[in-house]
Amino acid sequence: MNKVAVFLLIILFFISGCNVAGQGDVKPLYIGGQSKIFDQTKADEAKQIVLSMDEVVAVRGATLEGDIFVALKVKQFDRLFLDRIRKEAADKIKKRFPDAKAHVSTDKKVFLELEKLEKELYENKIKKSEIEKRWSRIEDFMKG
Amino acid sequence: MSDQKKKNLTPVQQEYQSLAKKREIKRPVMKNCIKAFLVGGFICFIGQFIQTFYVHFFEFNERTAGNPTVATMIFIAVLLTGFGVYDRIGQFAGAGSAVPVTGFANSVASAAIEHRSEGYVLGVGGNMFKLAGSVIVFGTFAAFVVAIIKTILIQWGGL
Repeated sequence: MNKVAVFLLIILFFISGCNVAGQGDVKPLYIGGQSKIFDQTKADEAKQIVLSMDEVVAVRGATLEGDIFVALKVKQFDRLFLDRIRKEAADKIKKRFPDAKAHVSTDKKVFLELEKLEKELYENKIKKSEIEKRWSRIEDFMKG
Repeated sequence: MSDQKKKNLTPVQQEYQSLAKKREIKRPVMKNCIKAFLVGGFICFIGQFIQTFYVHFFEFNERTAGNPTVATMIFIAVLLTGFGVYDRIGQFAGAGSAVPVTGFANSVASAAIEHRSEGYVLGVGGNMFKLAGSVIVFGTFAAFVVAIIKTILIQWGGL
């Protein structure tokens, strides 16, 4: 009896672990004109476009002059199709902003770095030279 | 036992074989599978934890964090093998502890420890890859075959 209960518990544990419904959408941080250094409205719009994709659960992004950097967190099962999702997201951003250079990543490190940058841009805590330094760092992480 | 071997046995031997088979304790295959699944999964969970640690606190991205993660896992597995802990885990989990990279590290380290008394060159050096050698040979061969299939599919199949 005890063994059956343990077995059922294990099964329940796995079923709840595989449940993707729990990964609800996380609203991205919209910066807009809040940042004094670089206007982030383009990045905000790109985030909104990307978040409308079914596979994406969270998004971070920032813009510097012509470049738009976006990092995605995708649903667990959809991680099998990362290439397709990245391409789709980049195409959607390019369609909206044909002149901008869209960089899309699904890497956790890029996501973390963009999250930090977003926060600092929102609070206006960062200098222009520092942003450029960070930008090249994030670009390096994207190349892998 | 294969049929060919069975033919060579005398009737008495065959009778004994069937008697022994009846009394043999059946292997709990399902239980072993669950144990292997859980322990193998737990090892992978530790690996994932270490990778996340490297991504968060060091200058690695998801792809580059793979190398230090594997190195750390190998180091832990060798340490546990040296202390005799990994053998216990292996006895409990079977394939669950043998399949990940830690199993490979364990097979190399345990062979090295076992042949330590025969000297460093002919003992440790000569026998270190006795168990892991087959993994290297067939792993390389499998990679070669997969690469050929991939090349054929991409070059000729137009994938």
